Amino acid sequence: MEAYKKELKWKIVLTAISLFFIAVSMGVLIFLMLYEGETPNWIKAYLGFFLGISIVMVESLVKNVRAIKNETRLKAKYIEETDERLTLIEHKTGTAIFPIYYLCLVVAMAVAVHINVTVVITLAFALLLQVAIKLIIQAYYKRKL
Amino acid sequence: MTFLAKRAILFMQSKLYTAGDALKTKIPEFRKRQKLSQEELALAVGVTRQTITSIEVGKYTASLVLAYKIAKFFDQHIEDIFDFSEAEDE
Repeated sequence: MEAYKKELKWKIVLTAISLFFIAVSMGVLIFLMLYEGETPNWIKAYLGFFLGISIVMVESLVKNVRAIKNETRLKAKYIEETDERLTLIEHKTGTAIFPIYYLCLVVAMAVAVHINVTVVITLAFALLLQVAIKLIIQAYYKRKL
Repeated sequence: MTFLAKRAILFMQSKLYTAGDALKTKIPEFRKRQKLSQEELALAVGVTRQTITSIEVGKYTASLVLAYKIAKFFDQHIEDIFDFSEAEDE
């Protein structure tokens, strides 16, 4: 449990540092927004993106800090994160995603052929990238396990 | 009424007991003997209550480490808790 506690402390530190940088970035964007007079779309997009990320990070930070301060919460969190059935479910979900994703991409390509060739090429590259990533991960685990 | 409810739960459990492909287990019997809840056993062996439920109803087979932890918790051998007869037949 002590090792997990240390890991959690590291997570808290990393989240806090990331939040600091996000806050600085948002500050710069807000300054730019005020400086420019009217708000360009890319600033709106980045602000929305950073806001979303920071909400998730603050939630995670609060959960981790509460867990560190309370042994019962810490054990419950540890069990939730290391439970072998939940881990298996995660693995199975990850494995199941690939074929569904391939199928969706192929269907999208078949539809896009009738609309735009650039879209087809983009989808084909996305499909190739997915296959390449899967093969690399498989090769890694075949060596590791 | 309570008796009927208990019988209904036992019947459902017996049906669920053989419903999955996982190993059959005597965990419910050992738990009842020691008057332990699933939650208490789960906490003792470091898994969620849902995992214990899944093992008990035969939906999920525990890993070797978890099976060992459960057996050790009840002070039994693994084969006293889990039924390997079907695995042996295969």
